[in-house]
Amino acid sequence: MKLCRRCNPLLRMTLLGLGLVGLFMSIGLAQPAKVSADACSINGRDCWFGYFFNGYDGGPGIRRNNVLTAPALLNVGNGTQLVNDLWAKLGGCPGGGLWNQNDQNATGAAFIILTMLGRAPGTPKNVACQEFNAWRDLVFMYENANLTNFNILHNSGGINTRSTRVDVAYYPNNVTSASIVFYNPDNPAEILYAIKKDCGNPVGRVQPLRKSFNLQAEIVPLVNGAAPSGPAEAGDAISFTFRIYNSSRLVSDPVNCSASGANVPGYTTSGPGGTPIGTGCPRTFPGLQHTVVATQNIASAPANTTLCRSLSVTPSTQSGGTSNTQVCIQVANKPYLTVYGGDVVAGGGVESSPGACTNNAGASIVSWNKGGAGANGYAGSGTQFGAYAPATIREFATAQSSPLGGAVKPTGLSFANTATNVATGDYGGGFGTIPCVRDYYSQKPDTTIAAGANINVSSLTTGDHFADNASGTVLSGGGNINPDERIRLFVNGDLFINTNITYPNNVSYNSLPLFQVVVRGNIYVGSGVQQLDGIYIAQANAGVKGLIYTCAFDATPPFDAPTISAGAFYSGCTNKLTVNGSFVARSIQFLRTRGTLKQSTSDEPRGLTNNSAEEFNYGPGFWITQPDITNSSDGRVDNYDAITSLPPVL
Amino acid sequence: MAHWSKKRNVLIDAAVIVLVAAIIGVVWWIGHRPATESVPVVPQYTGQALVDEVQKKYALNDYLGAINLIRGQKTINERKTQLVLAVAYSNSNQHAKAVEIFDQLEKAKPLSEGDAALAAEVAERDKQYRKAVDYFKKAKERADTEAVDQIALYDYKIAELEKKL
Repeated sequence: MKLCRRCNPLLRMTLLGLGLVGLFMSIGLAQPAKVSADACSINGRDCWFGYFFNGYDGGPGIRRNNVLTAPALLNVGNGTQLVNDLWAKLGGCPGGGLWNQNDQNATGAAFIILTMLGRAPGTPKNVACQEFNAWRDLVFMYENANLTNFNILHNSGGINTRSTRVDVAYYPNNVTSASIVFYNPDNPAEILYAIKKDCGNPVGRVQPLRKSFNLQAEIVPLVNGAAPSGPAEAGDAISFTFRIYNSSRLVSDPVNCSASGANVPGYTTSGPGGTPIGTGCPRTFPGLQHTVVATQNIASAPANTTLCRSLSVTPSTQSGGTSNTQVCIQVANKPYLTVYGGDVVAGGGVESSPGACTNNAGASIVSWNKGGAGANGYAGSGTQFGAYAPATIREFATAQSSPLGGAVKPTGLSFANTATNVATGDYGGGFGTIPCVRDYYSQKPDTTIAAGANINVSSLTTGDHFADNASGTVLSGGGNINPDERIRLFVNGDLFINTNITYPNNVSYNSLPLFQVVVRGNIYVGSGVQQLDGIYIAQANAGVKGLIYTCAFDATPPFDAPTISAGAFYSGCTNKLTVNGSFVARSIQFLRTRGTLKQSTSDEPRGLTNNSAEEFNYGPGFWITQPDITNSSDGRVDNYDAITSLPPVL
Repeated sequence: MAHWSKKRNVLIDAAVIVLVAAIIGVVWWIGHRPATESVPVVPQYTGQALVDEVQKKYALNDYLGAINLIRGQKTINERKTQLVLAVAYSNSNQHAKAVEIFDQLEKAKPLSEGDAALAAEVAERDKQYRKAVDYFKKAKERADTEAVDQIALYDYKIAELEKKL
């Protein structure tokens, strides 16, 4: 400052600033001891300060001892030897404490045990004796889980330990030597604890060996021995395996688990706990293993039932929590329909002029079929002849009951069958030329016989009848069609069929009757109806309705469409519906639930012996009596002069 | 002219002989040159970070990965990295390679007390008991005279190993 008495203020400030910077830098450089202390503090004590008494051990200028005297742990090669060695160094814990509080090896052994258990600095040495068994169990647990290495060259990571014989302190020191290491069960790449074998010094960041488990309750359902891909069928064999997975490497503590089951009527996705199932809990669960605690086998699943099974385990982790799971398998019938003597066509629009219509490019035929597996390949839904659809034919076989050398099911008479995937249920479709549907309702003649709102079919006579009831018309009472009767019934509005309608059992070819119903609205077939003979046509009215429901309950006008509620169809629609004739509609809802796919067999004969829910039988009797009347001036039924039938050219 | 022609021929012969000899020499060298080990391309670490990464691989029993990681370091020829490599070789049961590295390092510059003890441990693993004794003796010589526990340990090891000689 003397030299600078005459300096200008700026120069003085500069020199002063430089002086202060130098001072602060000097202070900064004088901090290495502090940095070293920080390095050790991750273990709960600053460097050079004892674990037990927090006394300063003299620091870097003082030479101290190894934690254990030679040969320390050099001869330890497994968990048992480590446990026995430290137990010996504790002197066998006479009276529940160290044999000598001031012994270097006893102190070192206590230090190792307590720090491996995660006890805080300052814990009395005798606690090592009191908790020796817990420590021993941990060592064995880690060893059994392959989370130990008793002879690996390991680097201390900059922290070592040393002994004053009565205490042990951490100090900065980087050394590599043969070591015993314990790995983190939740992250095996991390070392929790390491001990230098030649001196018994714990090194690096010492983290306690902790118990760790993570349990997940699991229920594995099998339907006929395979993982379920949807609802099971009545009669299927169902098994449930209740198991618990421990994703940790370590065995769990003894925990509680409980299993239960409930069979709930109808369809549901969750259920109550139900009846307890024995599990053998409380028990432990080995690491990285599935442990089965219960199994349950159901030889034949009951229909219209949901089988719900539950499993929970508590605690699911070392810190608590519960793992719950519930599996519900719905057991349902998979009804199927069979068609004999005729084709099935989807997608045809009602013609606006002869041969002109707008087809529904998205129309499909969708049902259930067994597929090719097993002895009853391609049993279930299907037709004896062909099927046409502009979109998809899904699990609806064609060429069923085909003669030897004929078309091959399930796609032989699918239109089109150029791009099928039978294994996934795609049996064809994509056909581009669907014929139009006649506008049958427009054929209603100007002169008709008036019909009421509640019609007894048996009382109808030959001729064209017309029922015009906005709220709906019901066919009930008798349903006999007599030989030679040719009845057409036009209905404006919905129609509920609540009676069987049958042709005579035996009739001469020249006395064939005809019963044709043309509805501009929906047709509801009552659940009790089992046979409908004739032609049943439902056309849309200005694009609305035109549906046929094969099972309905509400026979009081206006009719409600059946809705799915718990078991409604299963319990109310079990009658088989046989249609001797045909259905024509904008859409047909096949709702009967008689039988299930499981009961179907290949090439089932028509008739009551098969278990199909709906069966259609078509034959010449239905088109012989249905000549083209569009050119008939008076709308009356005409007669054929001749009929020639030739096989199709495909 | 005849003299010049003769001299020219001698020069040509000599040139051809030299050329052929050179070709033979090159071919022989190519066939007998020491195979160079491919150096893997790996992430680079410095100091303790390399040791920590290597130890993670030990924990996963990936000893080959550890060796490749070390060999791929740009510092592979540095003394500290060579020590890390020696440890990795030993942990992967390639003790002889590890001893070879320790020998080279000791020859270049005496190992520290701790590294000499480490070399002794590795030599013992390779059943080179004489060399292990020698390294333990060097460790003892280089130990702090006040490190009584450590000196006792070396004495113990030397005594145990000499029983095997």
